[in-house]
Amino acid sequence: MRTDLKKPLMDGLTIGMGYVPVAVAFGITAKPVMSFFDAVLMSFMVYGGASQFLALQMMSTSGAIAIVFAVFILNSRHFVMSFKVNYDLKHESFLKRLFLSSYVTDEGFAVTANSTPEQRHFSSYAVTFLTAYLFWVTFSAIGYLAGEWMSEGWVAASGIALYALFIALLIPAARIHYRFGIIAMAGMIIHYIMGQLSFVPSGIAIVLAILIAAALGSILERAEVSR
Amino acid sequence: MTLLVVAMFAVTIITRILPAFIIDVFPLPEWLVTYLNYIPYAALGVLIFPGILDALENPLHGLLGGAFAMLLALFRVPLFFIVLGTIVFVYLIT
Repeated sequence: MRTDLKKPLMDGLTIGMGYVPVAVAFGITAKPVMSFFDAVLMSFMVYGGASQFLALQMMSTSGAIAIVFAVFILNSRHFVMSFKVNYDLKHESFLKRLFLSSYVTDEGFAVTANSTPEQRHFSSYAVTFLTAYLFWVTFSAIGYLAGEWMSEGWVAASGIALYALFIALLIPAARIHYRFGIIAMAGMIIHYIMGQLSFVPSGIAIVLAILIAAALGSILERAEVSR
Repeated sequence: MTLLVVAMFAVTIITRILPAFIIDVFPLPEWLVTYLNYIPYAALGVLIFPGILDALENPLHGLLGGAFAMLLALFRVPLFFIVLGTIVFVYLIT
């Protein structure tokens, strides 16, 4: 194994470990609602945890068009994340970027966003993204088939995994520059306030909170540079 | 059902791959590059809170888990072990 792919593989495994409880929970929840084929197909094609749960939740109450629209809104945040991934990899060919773009998730984006310029190449992103993807699809299937045999306490405790991952990624960044920490705090507060406004759909609240908090970062940076 | 899944796939993949096309078409202005640099940290904040309050049955356990992860991160524990350690911590306190 190439040593420069060790870190991407570890990153992929870390995300994968965070995906296990979510994917298993998805499989369990999907079982009474749809066939094994459709549940695995959804994880295989849509590959977006929150949107898949949303679809399951809406199936009993809403029509297909409403579900597809809600999924679109919720997943539109990937546009912003994929934009950054494509920018960091703009030296790679179009087809390679296209391939990686289709596997962008919150977690894959967050883990690779802090990469150094030397780590920004196709193979390292591909290893991280595809390892995480493999976990998602595999454990969706396992959850569907064998979910009831898994330890409930362990699956529940693992609900913290992805948050631990996000926090673990944020702390070193805030250490590099306090401004990154402030921006993250701003994102939290804006997201929380928007969440309280019942007329803003949750998918839109996520995207707007990211865009506004990031804008605050550029403004702060400009203000400091010009001083 | 399968058709619905395919429709969900279509609207999701569009948002993911669109940037791959856009980035080739025009060079990004400097302000946009500066702006893009802040997207990851804004996104991390948005993804952490308030979602962490719903991560576990009890919001307080979620916050404690988050604090524990933060502590491990401050001690520069590797990513994988922060996630694993926090799961074990939460398992023990719940």
